[in-house]
Amino acid sequence: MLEDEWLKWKFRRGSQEALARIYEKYLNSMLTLAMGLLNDASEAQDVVHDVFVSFAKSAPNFRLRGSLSGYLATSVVNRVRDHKRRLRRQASSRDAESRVFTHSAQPDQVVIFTEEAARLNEAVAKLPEDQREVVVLRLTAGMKFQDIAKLQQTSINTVQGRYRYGLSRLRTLLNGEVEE
Amino acid sequence: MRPMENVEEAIRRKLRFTAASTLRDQWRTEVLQAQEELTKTRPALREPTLRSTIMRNSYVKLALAAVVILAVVFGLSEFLGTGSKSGVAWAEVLEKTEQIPAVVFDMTVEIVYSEDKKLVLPSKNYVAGDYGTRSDIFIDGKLSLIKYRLPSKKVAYQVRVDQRKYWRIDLSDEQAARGRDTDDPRTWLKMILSGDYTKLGRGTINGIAAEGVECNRPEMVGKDGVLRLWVDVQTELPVQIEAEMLGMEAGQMRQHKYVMENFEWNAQLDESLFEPNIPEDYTLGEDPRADRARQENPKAQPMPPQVPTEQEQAAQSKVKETVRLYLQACSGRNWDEILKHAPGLAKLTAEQRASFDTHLGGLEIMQIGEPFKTGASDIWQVPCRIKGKAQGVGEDEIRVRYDETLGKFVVCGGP
Repeated sequence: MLEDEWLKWKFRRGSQEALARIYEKYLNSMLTLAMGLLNDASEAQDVVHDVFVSFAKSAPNFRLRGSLSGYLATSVVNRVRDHKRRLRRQASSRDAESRVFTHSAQPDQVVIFTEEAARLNEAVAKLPEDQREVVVLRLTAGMKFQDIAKLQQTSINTVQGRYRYGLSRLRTLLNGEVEE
Repeated sequence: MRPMENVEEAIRRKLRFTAASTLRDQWRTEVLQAQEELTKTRPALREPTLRSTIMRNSYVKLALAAVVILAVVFGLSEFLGTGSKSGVAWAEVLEKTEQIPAVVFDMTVEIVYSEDKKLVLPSKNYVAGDYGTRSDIFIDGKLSLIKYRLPSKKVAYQVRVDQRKYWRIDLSDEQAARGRDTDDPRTWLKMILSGDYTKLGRGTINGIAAEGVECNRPEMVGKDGVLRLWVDVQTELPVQIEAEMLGMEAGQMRQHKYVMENFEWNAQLDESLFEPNIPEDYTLGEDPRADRARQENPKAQPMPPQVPTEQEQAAQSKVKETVRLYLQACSGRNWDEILKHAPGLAKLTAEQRASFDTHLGGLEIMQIGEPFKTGASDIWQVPCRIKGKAQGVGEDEIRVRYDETLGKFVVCGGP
């Protein structure tokens, strides 16, 4: 946490070193979060890329009292929501087949993941959107229920309920077993 | 294989996606480049530091003096300026924007409740000379309120999407004729450029090289308020307008900050954007007044103060005087005088009067702020700082309206 405060301070003053460290520190967790929400490697890449580029450009106006990881995770969620809205708008003109989210990475394998991660992600992708957001934000980005409630504009009880339902559904989807 | 007791643990530990080194390196370059480009377009922000460093060193000072002399001798002085342009022609900025029929911009209202508690309300705003204005206001990332002001139809609407409710506000001829309100950035622009201002030099606003000015217009932002305008040095069109002021929110004076930015001057806007199209299941709010709507939900966006008309400017001093006399009467527990300035208090019982006296008797007036109005309201709001006998200094707001029957201003709300 202290490191993040220092990084925020340096980043605001235009430090490239701080930006590079923030990028290295949070790239994979934000990519995992975006994958959890989108279950599509190329779309997740677009989202995470845009989040970091916008973040880099925000330095002069950057004012953040909360956590850096929470801020980046919120940025990812907001971009994912925008992205989905755009997709929905385009949906009528697109072939239904092409709208199915897939986990397939690009041919040059720019996102690396295990088979088990893909299986877990497939299951997460089957959760209703609200539950998926809560589960992924809590378990991959480590966000507090209180912050998730703020992001979802709902009460903390509702968020905890979504989390419980989400986990219960995941247990069913994963057929009660998972590889060690 | 074993039964999965803990799905949480599995996701935490095993749901991992990693960027390959090629992707990571390529992105790192792009991200750092984005930051670098930003730095390149911000020369003026760094100039003061550089200049002070240079001037502290006497050898450099001498060398610099020599360069300036040589430059003058060889007629090169124009190259010592801040750039290829000599600066923004401020007088032309307003004129230029006045010729533009439509603009889209983002506005953020920030209300400070305490050092670590702020309410931030972003909005997307559309202004079209032919149709009117529209503001889409977001609360916690969700579209919650849409405000329409349609002077040509002499009506304004507030639609609470989150409450499935709406208010219709008929505009008076005067309000409609005014045509423009604080929802149009040109109102602020006009106010900023209408008097003295301090030049802020060059800076970068959202990646755009800009020049800024700063001023105070008490009639718009109160005595301690600040207005700032940043104009693109290339297009000479505004890129950011800021206003900082004290305003009433949830019963207390709080710091408000308005930032208008991401302007799309000369945007193509369709008339349909300004048609409320209120869904059938939305209910009409009981009281059409905007300030009532705010009272019902304190999270609703506070309306920025209106720019007073000439008539209203003349009324401001009378309003302020009414408040002063009222507070003085309260201080002296002089009920004849209190009722003269606040006739509504005649309804108070003896017990209520005694309580009133206990709280306000002996008060000391520290400051009476500039009266202002919000939205379509006829009520003047007057921020005040008073020192109670029992309590310390507190900030309050007194409301004043014009009483047609009495033919004078009277206090209609406050402490």
